Amino acid sequence: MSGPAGTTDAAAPDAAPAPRRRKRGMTALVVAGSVLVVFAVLSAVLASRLGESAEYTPPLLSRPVPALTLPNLDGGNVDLAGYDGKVVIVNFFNSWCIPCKEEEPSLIAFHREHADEDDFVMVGIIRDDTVGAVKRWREGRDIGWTLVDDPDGRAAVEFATTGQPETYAVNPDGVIVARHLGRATTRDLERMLAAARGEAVS
Amino acid sequence: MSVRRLLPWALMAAAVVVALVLATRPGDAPASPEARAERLSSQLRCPVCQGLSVADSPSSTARAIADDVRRRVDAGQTDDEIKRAYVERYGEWVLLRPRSDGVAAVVWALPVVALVGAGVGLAFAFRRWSRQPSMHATEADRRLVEEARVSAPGDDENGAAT
Amino acid sequence: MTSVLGVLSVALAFNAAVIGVAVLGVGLMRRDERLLRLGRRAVFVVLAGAVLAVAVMEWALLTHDFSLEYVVNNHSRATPVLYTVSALWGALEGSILLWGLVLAGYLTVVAARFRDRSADPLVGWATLTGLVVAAFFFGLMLGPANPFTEVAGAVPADGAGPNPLLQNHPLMAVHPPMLYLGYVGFTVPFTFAVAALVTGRLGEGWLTATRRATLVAWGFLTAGIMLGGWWSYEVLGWGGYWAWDPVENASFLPWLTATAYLHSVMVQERRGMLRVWNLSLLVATFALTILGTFLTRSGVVNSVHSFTQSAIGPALLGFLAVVVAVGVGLIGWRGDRLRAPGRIDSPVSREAAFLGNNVLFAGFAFVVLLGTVFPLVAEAVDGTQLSVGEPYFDRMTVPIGIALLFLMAVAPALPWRAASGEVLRRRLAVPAAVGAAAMLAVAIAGGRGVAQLLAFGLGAFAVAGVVRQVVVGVSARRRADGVGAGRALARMVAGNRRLYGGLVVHVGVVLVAIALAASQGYATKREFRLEQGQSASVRDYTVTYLGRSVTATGQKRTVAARVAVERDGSSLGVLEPAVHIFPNATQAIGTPSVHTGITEDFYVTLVSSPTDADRATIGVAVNPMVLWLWIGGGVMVVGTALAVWPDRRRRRPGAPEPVIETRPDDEGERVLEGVGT
Repeated sequence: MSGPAGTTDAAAPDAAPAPRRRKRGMTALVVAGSVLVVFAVLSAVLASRLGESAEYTPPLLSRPVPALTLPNLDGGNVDLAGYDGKVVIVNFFNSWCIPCKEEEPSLIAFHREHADEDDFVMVGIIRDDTVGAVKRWREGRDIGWTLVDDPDGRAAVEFATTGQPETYAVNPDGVIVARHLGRATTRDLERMLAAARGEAVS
Repeated sequence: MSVRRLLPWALMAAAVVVALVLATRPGDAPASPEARAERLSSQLRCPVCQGLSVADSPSSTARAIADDVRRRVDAGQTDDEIKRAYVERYGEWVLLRPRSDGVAAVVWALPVVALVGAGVGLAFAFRRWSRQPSMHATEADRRLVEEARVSAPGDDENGAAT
Repeated sequence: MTSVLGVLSVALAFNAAVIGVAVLGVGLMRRDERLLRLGRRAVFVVLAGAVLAVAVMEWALLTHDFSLEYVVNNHSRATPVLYTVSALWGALEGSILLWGLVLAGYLTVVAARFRDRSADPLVGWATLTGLVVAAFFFGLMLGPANPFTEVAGAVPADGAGPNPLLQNHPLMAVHPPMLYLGYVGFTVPFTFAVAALVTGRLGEGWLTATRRATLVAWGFLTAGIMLGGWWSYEVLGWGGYWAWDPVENASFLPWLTATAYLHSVMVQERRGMLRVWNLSLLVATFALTILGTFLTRSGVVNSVHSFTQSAIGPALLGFLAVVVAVGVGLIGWRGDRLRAPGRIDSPVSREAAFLGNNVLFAGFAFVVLLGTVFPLVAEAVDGTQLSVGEPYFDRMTVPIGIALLFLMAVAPALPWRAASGEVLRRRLAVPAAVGAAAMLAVAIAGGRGVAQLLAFGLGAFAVAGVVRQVVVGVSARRRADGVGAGRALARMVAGNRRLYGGLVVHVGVVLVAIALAASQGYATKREFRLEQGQSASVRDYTVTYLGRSVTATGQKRTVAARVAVERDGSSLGVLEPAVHIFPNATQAIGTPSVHTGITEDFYVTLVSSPTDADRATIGVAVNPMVLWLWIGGGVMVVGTALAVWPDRRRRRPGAPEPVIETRPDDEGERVLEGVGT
């Protein structure tokens, strides 16, 4: 087929002997075919990523809680790895982040629910904020759990946080077993607590 | 080729060599803790940014990681130990320079394969071209070209890309 | 009401495109010239529909018509007018609408320029292909990316406003349209390539017809990429302009293949060679624009530019598959007709240099594509999340860039066919000496780094080569015409604007390369924690933290630090780097403050947390020569404009082309060589 077009500007001379031309035709076919195969594989890969989240989430740490000693806002120090035999809920937060504000009622309700259980500890770690601002923020709020500072951001790095709020659950053996990125509801918090206690997760 | 003709090129080559030697001479303490921490930070990916390194990112998270890297350097950890510590926390994802083993090796190997392939292909092409009977310019052609050169104003390169 | 108007406009464009395709298709099959003339008119209706649709959207934005979901999501009553207008391309659906408008505009320009040749099957096939592409994009707007969707339920009183990152710098209003003018422009040469393949008219006629469109698109894409870098530098606050982000790479990929094409096409025009390669480059360039759109718009990569996940991913991927299959299929089908019997006689010749240039650009594009999609491949293969970032791209692309700089210095001096040692010496000795001297001077002045020094040396070599070529040309013209230098220069450039435009672009590339080398290699970065009134020094600069201010505008709270900057005791003024807090953001967003200078920029960011009142952590950087990056980009655009600006005496394309079509038989080529075109 020469195409529906009438004219041909430049046709290749037919001088080349037939076998040579057939060989060249084969080469073209092989090259075109391999380009298409590579492309098909690539599009299959791209297609498989459709609908998946491209957001990065650090792998969930099943690692011992870092042995850090952090200054308690009410004086003294808190040893994060020193809560042997207890379930620890660790919450990263600060006074200015808006999702943290939205999370506040859930945290308060959740803490009130479990505060008198013997194996329950809840620690809030300041992320990217100053002690003064957090103390001002705490005034007039019913924050019953321990708040600690993270002056050089070591805790934030050790827990591999990517922002705030973020919540982690540590089981009685001192291993981080559950995590929630972003604003957590009471339901999320209950689920993490259950996971840390080794109870069946609903 | 006469020595006088070669001399300017030799001088140029010498200038280039001297310049490169000057440019690579050891500078201010190559393995200073700052430099090491900075280099490591530039190879770690900031976990809260879009593809930036810890060294580049102004975010508080990146600053905290950079401080942590510096602490680890001061504590005497090796580059590999520091990188491993971060891979343990953030996964392979944290390394901006993919490793040269495992699946990631492909990303290093393929360009080399492509380069060698292109080189071999070009060599074949030139060999085929050099075996092909070339068309030889006749005396008439040469005269034609000469006339065109003479009549065209200026150096022929200035009309070359028309 | 607005929604109905908008959808009707889009439907008008879509239906016109589909009908145009049908009419042209029948016309081409039956060789009916009347149908071909009729079919091409569809292009004007597509443009009318696109203009109407854009007008409806802008009207809706400007009149706060919150009955449209798009307006609710991307506009608020408090949004300034500039960002209201630019909200058109602030999100997925609107950007597809802009794409449709730009495409319709390009197709209309082509239809108008070829109005005398509308009965030509080559033009008919090209128009048909263009209308197919238009039908696809307007189809997207009727399906998964409808910009005119009405809000569900009651019409809200106010909207969310544009993405915070898109409303804090006026550059955001210019960068995307430039990028689209570039991206979409590559559709034109693609349609002509398809037409040439289908009709079998594979001579060089179609090339000259689309040369200008390719250059125009390339110029816009260059400007778009540069403005993107500038925006990143001025807004994102990390002190850099290019992060090898997947979406930056997506805009860079077609630029690389198009640059390769702009060089290799000269070999085809001159020697009739590299036809398969050139067609492949055009198909690849267009395919890469679609791939880039897919990467940006489908949410498969996480990027600062990517819009939220959307349903148009599968459609774009399917279209990409069609483009690649049709392109590769047609080239494979016409493969043996495309074989040219020519040969490259010597590895030291202009055509061999272009070949080398193309291998390097193709390799460059391959590395960038590989690095961009590799994390996706790795995750699909064994589920690991890994990164391919700046250290990888730097390691791979810096050597390629240096090699390209070398070619850029040498190649314009190489004659076609073969070079004699004498010619090389005459043309290259002085520029090479300038390059070597520049290298030595920089090294003595304390410049470090092999890559940096080579960039400076080769850059000086290339610029000296351009200067030599211009000086030699001007003096020859003065002798020949007996006129002054100014007039001789003007006449010489007017006589071959494509060549001299190209050389101006080369000078721009050198400026960019030197700016890259200096700003990457010789930047100084420090961080200071300062009490109010306290000072710190870096190089010959002194910064003093004066205090901070907190302002709330709309939904945004801004904390700005006031930092006095002095250099060698003289004040450079007060810079105000800031941190913004937006609702729903788990991170504070910083904005740098930059003092721009001829030789170096002083770049200040606020690093500390927004509640830190008494002290501030200030990031400062001295970034050398960054200004020259933007100047170099401007020079590249000026050079492109010089090369493409319409000639007053230019013949209309309807008239026979002035360029001799090279026929791949020896006679034609020898004649062409002889007259020196």
